[in-house]
Amino acid sequence: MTALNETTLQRLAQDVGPEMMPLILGKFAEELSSKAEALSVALAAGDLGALSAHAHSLKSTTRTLGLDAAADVAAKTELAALQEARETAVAGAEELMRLCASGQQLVEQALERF
Amino acid sequence: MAVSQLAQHTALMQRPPPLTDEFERCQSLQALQLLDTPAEERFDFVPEQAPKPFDSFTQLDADANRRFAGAGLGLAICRHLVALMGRIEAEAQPGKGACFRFMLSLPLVHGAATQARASSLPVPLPAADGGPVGRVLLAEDSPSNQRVIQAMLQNTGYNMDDMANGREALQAVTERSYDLILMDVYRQDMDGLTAARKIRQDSRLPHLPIIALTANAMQGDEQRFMEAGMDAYLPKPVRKPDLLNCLH
Repeated sequence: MTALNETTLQRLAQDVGPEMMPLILGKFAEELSSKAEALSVALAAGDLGALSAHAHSLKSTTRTLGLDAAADVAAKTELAALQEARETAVAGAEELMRLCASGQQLVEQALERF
Repeated sequence: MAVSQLAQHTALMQRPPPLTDEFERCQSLQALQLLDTPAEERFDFVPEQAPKPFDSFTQLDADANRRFAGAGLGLAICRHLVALMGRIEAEAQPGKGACFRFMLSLPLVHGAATQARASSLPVPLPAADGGPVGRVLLAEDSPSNQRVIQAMLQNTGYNMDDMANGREALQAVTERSYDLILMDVYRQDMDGLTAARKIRQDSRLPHLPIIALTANAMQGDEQRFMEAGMDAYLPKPVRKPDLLNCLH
């Protein structure tokens, strides 16, 4: 399982206030789950446009949270989907779904600290 | 930091109402002038005292009933900070106030001119009556990022409306008055650039600042943002100091 970037997480806590972190981390966990589901639907439909859009959204969400590995994969997946490099985009989306699942666990662990 | 010191120092001396500040920029000159303060609250000095405000532990007004408290270090700190990169000077007219100006020689950084920067200036504060001081429209489809921005604006006096899609944002600006729009440049239904163009094309709307939010600005992006009518961009993840800087 990849780690949460602790520096990013602490910066986030500093910017939003530690008291807001449980609410915000909860939102992130929900969004990781819903976006992974959306990726799955786009993959099943072979819809590269939707795949690119969801990967783009995840790129920003995961970067904010400090899930750097997921953000990097999301960026590559988005680009591949935009360039219609189907094989690369599909592989990236599958990896991104796994990273979203592990990211949810990391967020839940982080929740215990706030 | 020097700007912060200067602004805070002068704000200390010049009690509320708040200062208005005006930045003048050219390629190698940055100047800060603090203006529009009531005459009785202005800090001033006679021409012969011109170098003195920058001396350490010096108060120009040594009277026991002097208007301004302090150890007499604020402007000395400013001078030392600015001396690292340039020079600072002051001029004043008795009864009218003082003008502090500093000059820095800085290299131009291509592509960085319009990126909203972190600021160490004081953050905006809620209005004295507790009411809102402004309203921000956020066009961002990530619920998590919406919540983050909203939390950053807490206790700043700014209220925020978040819109999940570009069409809602376009509708909102015609129905309500905003001080600033934060616009994600990539959106599923209508990208931020299209939304910005439509806002600028609507002659009924005043020119309100539109700040692009982007996760990865690439070469040429800044030009595209400006051509679409945006005023600046903030890189994602958005940091609170950068966001607050946009509200000044």
